[in-house]
Amino acid sequence: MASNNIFSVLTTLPRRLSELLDSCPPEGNGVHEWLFKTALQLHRYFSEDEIIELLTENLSCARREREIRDAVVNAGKYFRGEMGSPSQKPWPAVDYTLVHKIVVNSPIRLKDLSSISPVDLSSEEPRTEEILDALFPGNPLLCFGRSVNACWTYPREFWRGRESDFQFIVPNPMSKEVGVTTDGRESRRCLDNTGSRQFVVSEFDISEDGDWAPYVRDWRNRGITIIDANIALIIELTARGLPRLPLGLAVHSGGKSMHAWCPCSGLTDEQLRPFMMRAVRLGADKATWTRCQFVRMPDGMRDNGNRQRVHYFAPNVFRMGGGLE
Amino acid sequence: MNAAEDIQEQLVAPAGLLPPGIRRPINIVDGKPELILPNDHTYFTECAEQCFWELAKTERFFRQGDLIVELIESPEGLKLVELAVEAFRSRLEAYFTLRSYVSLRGGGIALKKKICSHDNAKVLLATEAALNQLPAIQAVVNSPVFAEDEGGKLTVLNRGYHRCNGGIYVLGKREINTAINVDEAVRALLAIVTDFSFLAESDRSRCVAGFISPALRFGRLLDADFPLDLCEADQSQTGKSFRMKVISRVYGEGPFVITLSSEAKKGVGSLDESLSEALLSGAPFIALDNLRGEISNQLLESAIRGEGKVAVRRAYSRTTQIETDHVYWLATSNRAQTTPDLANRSIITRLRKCAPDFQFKHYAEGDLLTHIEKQSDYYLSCVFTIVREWHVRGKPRTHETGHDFREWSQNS
Repeated sequence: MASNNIFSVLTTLPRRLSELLDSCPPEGNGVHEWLFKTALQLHRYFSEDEIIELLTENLSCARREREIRDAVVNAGKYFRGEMGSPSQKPWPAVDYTLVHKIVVNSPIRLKDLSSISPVDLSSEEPRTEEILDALFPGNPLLCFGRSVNACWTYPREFWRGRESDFQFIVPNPMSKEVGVTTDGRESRRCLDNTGSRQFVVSEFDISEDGDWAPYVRDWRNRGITIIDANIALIIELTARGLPRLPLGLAVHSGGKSMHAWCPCSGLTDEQLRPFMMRAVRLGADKATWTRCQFVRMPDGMRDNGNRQRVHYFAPNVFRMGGGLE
Repeated sequence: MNAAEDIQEQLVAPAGLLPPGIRRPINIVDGKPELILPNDHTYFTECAEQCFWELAKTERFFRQGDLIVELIESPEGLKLVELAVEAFRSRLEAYFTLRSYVSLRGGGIALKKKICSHDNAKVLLATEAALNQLPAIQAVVNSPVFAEDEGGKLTVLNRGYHRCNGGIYVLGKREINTAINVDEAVRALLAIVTDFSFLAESDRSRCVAGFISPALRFGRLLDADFPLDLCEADQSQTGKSFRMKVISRVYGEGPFVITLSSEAKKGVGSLDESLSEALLSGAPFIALDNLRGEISNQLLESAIRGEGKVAVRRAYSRTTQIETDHVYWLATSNRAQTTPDLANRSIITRLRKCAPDFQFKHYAEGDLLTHIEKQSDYYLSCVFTIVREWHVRGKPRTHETGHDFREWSQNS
């Protein structure tokens, strides 16, 4: 129960903020984002401990205490102007109308993707080793994960032969085996030990609930699956519009999405962020913008037993790096 | 190539980034680039940068001085006209999918289809981005142009837009024969003028120079002022206007003709306005037909030999400064009394009326003008042969000092 002091301030909050506080989405629909967004707004009125108390009371599902505290601490840094650039544009909202048009009109579906892949992917054997050799030539440090919290960072050669046993990989070479997180803890996977951005990976976060529901229903009636929709959006993002990056790899998550790997070495975040903004507007998860974010291991094995099959592989574009027109 | 092959190629194409100055990602919506119109959620500058960057790629919209102009079809061919706000609104629809952020009732914003308001169009046309992004243009010509590249090497500007020389748009493709030798070219050009009766041999020379001069002018091969090419005759029907047409036909052009009135007139319909219209049209040949009486016009004098720029103004429009060194000025007169200034700015070719029984040369195509029109590729090739030879020889000059336009007269 909120203390008397908190209660008296709560009654004076702007209506929008009160509504935000009361509208924690259901689990799996952006609770993490809600924590941060709401904490950021509440910093104007409450102390960190008070915000943690308020968020905990309004959560729609159980969350780890550390996740809540991290969200509040990080939001505080943004609130005080200690992080981020004020000129940086916020991520755009999903443009459902545009997405719908793209998905419905796309000439490429899942069944067609392998046929336009420059490399024949019909073999049943995992090709993770070959693919990682193309993605990360030499012997750079790579971070692999069996789960989000069980990860290790070692040189490429250490992993040889067992790559496909893993679910996750950080899509950029690491700079050291262990780094320090923003709250001072040691970690094998954090921004501090992740090297420069070599790939932008996009994953379209389309679910059958919420705002997506009517569109997904419409697609289903037309015989279009969520994976087909993912492919349509990947094609749109990499073949049309600006900025545009070549498509190097398309990896099935083993669930209901596809990960698109686009090489970008040599390009700055300033040049690349508008690309990610396009992706987010088309429904991509902005989480993959974080350099140390795990993505699905190409041809790896998901914990549900599904193979994270590669449906498109263009090794030539990796040699090109972020080569410009 | 089918859709899948086309996509296959695009997927592995090199990265394409936003050009400098453009901050908002560009999406393709309904087959056209999406343009997010200005409102509380989008700045004018943001919209204008993308808008004019895209329009610049069409090679249809340009900057002429500080005016935004459009290349449009007209009965006389393609010409430049100022882009009016009303026209701009519909052009936006032709080139973009127009959308705008709108606030949603339940909070948040979303993009919706919109048309561009008059106010938005007006402000967009007035942005710095319009002037910065659109390429400059001075001339719209029908035939390829000989110009020098940065290394001073002679190069042909073929069909399309070229940034050099203040912006030049070549509309036509011509068959230029590079195998013609200089002797043949000289003979061919001299043959054109055999039917004209000149007062003196020097008039013949000036007349032939009139065929070559435009090539030097359009390609800026001579860094000099060019005189007004004035053709005078003692009587009417001596072929003054005919000569003017023949010169312009070699270049595949028809001159922008201005008929001067001897009465001083200001405002709408004045000589200044006609000159402005001609200069702004991008026409390479401007002809002042049948000059009569005293000709004293400051704009004309400045345009022919001034600072290389003049202030011009179309009717009901604002004044703008434009460059004038793309124009080849022609004039005809029976008894023009020009000011000393204008006389000094002219190179005069004097014609005599041919005897009534004079037999004009007959060509397979008909008269001389028809012949030139049909064979203009050949005659332009002859002009280019002579220009190329002059260039190869290091642009030799004479020691002629008898004219105010010394640079021109020493080369021509």
